[in-house]
Amino acid sequence: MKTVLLIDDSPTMLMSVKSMLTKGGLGVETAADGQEALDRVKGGLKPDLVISDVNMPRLDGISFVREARKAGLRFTPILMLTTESEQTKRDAAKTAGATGWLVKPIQADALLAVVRQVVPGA
Amino acid sequence: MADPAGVVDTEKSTALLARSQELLGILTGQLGDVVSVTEEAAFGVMEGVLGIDEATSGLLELSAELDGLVAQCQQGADTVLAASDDASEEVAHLVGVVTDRDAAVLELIGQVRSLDQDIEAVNAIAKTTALLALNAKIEAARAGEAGRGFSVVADEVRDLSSQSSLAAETIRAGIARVTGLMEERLGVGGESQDVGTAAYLAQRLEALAAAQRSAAQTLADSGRGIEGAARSMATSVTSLSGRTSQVLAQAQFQDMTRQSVEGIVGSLDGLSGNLGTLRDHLEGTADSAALAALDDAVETLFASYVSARQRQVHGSAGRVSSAGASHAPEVAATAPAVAIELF
Repeated sequence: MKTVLLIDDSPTMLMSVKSMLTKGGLGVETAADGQEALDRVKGGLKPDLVISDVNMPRLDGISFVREARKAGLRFTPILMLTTESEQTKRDAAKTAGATGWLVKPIQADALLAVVRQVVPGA
Repeated sequence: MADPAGVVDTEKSTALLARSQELLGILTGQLGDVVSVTEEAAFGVMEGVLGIDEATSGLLELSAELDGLVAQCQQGADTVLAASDDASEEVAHLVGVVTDRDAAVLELIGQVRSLDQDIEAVNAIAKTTALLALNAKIEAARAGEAGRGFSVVADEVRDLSSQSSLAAETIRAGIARVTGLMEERLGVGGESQDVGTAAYLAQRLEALAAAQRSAAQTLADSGRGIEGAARSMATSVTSLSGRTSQVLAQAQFQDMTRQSVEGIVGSLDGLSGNLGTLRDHLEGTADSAALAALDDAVETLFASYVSARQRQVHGSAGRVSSAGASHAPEVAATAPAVAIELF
C-alpha cells in the first residue's frame, strides 16, 4: 500500500482529504503543519507522496517543500493543496520543488486521478 | 473631520476613531467566533458523514456476503431440484417394477386356482374308481370262493380311491389358503385394498416427489428474490457512498471560509492599528508619513477579497493541467485558470 503524508492545519481538511485517500486504497499519515511534517521526515518517514497546504503556522507549505527536498524527500512527489491561486505562489512552489498545484475544494475522483498520475501503482 | 467653518474638531474625531477601533475589535472577535463555530460544525458534520461512510462500507461487505449466501442457497435449491427429478424418475421406475411384479403374481394366482379343475378331475376319477371297486366287490361276491382274492383287491382300490379324494381336497384347501394369503399380501380385496396396491404406492410417492419439487422450487424462487434485494441494496449503498464522498469534499468550504475570514481579521487588525495612527496624527503625535500604512491595510483587504473571488471561479475542481512536466499531462496549461496543475 502506498503511503501519503498529508499536511494541513485545518482538522476538517485533514479529515476530508484523508477519507478520500483512504477510500482510494492509500495509507495516510497526517501532520498539522510544515514543521511537524519536516520533523517526521527527518525522523525517517518515507512517504510515497506528500500533499501539503500552503498557508500554515510555524512552517508554510512552500518552505516545507524547500526543506524536505534537502532532508531526504529528493524525488518524492509533493503536491500543494491550497485555497491560494496567486501565480506568484505557484511559481514559488514550483521553484521550491513542488510537483503540482491543486486548488481547494477538490473532489475525490479528481484528487485520486492526480495521485495515480504522480505515483505509479497507487 | 471638519465643521462648516473648516475647523477640525480633534476631540470628537479622536473619540470617534477610538469608538471605531472598539467596533473593529468587536467585529474581529465576532469573525473569530464565526470561524470557531463553523469549524466545530464542519467537524461535526464530517464526523457524522464519516460514520455513515463507515456504515455503508459495512453494508457493502454485508451485501457481498449476502450475495455469496444467496448463491449457495440457489445452488442448494438447484441440487435439491435435480435430486427431486432423479427421485421422481427412480420412483416411477420402481413403481413400474412393483406393478409388473404384482401383475405376474396375480397371474400366477390365477394359474394356481386353475388347478382346482384338475383336482375336480382327480375327484371324479376317485369317485368312478370307488364305483368300479364297488362293482368289483359285488362281482367278487358272486364268484364265491374264487372271487375272494379279487374282493380284497376291490377293497384296496376303493380305499385308494377314498385316499385320492381326500388328498385332492387337502390340495384344494392348500391352494385356497396359499392364494388367499398371496392376495392378502398384495392387498387384493378387503379393507387394505387401497393401501397396498402399487397404484396407491405410486400415487403416494409421486405426491411426495411433487411436494419435494415444489419446496425446492419455492426455495429457488426465494433465493432469486433475495438476490434481487441484495443487488438493490448494493446499488443503494454504492450510491450512498458516492454521496458521502461528495459531502466530505463539500465540507472543505469550512477551511476556505476560515482562511478567508482569518485574512479579513488580519486586515481589520491592521486597519484598527492604522485608525490609531490617524488618531495620533489628529492629536499631533504622528506625522503624515505614518498615514501611508492605512493604504496598505486597504490593499491587503482588497487582495483578500479578490483572492476569495478567484477561488469561487475555481470552484469547479477537476481540471488537470501540466506546464511541460514529466507527469503525462492531459490538458495544456493556462496556469491561473486551472484548479489542478502539474509542473
